[in-house]
Amino acid sequence: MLARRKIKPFLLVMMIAIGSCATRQEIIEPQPPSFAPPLVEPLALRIGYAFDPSIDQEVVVTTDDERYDLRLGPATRTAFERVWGAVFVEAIDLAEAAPAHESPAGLDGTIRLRLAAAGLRRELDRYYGFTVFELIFLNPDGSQGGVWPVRGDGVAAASGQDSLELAIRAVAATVATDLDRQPALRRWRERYD
Amino acid sequence: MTLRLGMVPWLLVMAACIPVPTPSVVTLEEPPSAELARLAAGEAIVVLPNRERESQYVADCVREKLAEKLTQNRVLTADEVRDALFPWLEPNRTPRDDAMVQALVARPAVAQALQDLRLRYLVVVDLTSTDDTVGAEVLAAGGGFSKVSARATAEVVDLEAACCRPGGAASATGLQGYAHVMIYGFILLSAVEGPACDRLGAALVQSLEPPAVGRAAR
Repeated sequence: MLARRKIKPFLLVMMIAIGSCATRQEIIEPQPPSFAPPLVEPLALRIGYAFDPSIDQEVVVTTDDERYDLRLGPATRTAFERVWGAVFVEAIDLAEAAPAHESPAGLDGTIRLRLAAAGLRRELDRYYGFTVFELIFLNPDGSQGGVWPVRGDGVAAASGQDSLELAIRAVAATVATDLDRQPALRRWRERYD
Repeated sequence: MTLRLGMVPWLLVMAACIPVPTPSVVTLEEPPSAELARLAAGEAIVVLPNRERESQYVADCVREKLAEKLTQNRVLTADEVRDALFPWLEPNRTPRDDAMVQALVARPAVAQALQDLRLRYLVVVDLTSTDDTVGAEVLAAGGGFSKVSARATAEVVDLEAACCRPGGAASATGLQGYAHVMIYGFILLSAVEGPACDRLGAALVQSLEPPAVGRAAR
C-alpha cells in the first residue's frame, strides 16, 4: 500500500518531465489579407489563373522543440484572387484540377501559382516567416512561357500567424507592381502591338 | 543558520537599490521645413516607420502626439493607409524623393484613393539610439554608467505638392547606470527615446496644425 502511494507522485513527476520535453505543436493559419485590390492600371490581357495543389498542402516546420503546421491555402487564394482581378482586365479562375499544360482558347495566357517553400522560426521575441511562390506562365498553345519565383518575408512580434500574413502580403505586393516586367507577359502583350 | 522572519525586512533594506530618475536634455536639432503648409481642417495625415522593427516605437509615439493635438484632422494608422493604397506604401516601398512621389500621385487609381482619404501628408519617422558605457568595479565599490542618447527624425511627404520635405530632428541625452558601495546602491534611470519623440511630435504639431479660426478669418 505504501509503495503504491509513493509510485503515483513519482509517475506524475515523470509525466510532467516528459511532457515538458515534448515538441510543442502549433497549427498556423494566416487570416485572409486586409488590403484593398491593388491600385494598378490593369494590363489589357485576358488570362486564366489556377492554384497548384501545393497551395493547400500543409507545410511542416520543425525545430528542436517546436513544430509548426503551416496552412497557407485560404489566405493565399484570397490574396491572389484580389491581385489577379486588379492586374488584368479579365482574369478567369480555371478549375484547379485542369491539367498543367492546358490553356483554354480565347485566353492570352494562364498563370499557375505554386507554393515552392515556406518557413517559420522564432528568435527571442520575434517570429520570422517567409514564403516563396512560383508563377508558372503558360502560353496559349500550352507551352511553358517561364517561371517567376517571388519571395516574401514577414517579421512580427505578436505571432507566427502575423509574420506569415506579412510574408504572403509581401509576395502579393511584388507581383502587383512587377508582373508587367516579366518576359512572358511582354510576349503576350506584343500580340496586340 | 536559520532564516528567521524578523530578519527579512533588514535583508531587504540592505539589498535594495534606490532608483533615481534623472532628467534628460532634449534638443530640437532641426525644425520641420518652413515650406510645409499647414493642414486644412478635415485633411488626414499618417505616420509611417522608416524601418519596420526599429522605428515602430517612434512611429507610434509621434502618431499619438499628433492624434492628441491635431483635433481638426484625422491621424490615420499605418495599417489602414497601407491597406487602402496597396501595394504602394508597403515596407521599403514608401516614396522618398520628389520623382517617386510624383510617379505615385500620377497614377489615377492612387490619386482617387488619396482624394477619398483626403490624405495630405505621409510622415516617415526613424529613431537612432547610442549608448556610451563607462564605469569600473573596484573591490566592493563601483559603478557603471552610460551616456545614452536618442535621435528622432522625420521626413514629410507632401502628397498635394508631390514633394518631400525635412520634417525635423530632435534628440535627447541622459545618463543611465548604477553605483554601489558594498551592497548599498542606487540606479540612475534616464528616459531618452520618449522625450526625443515628444519633442519631434510637438515640432510637427506646431508646423502642421490648422490655423486657428480667428487667424484664418484674418
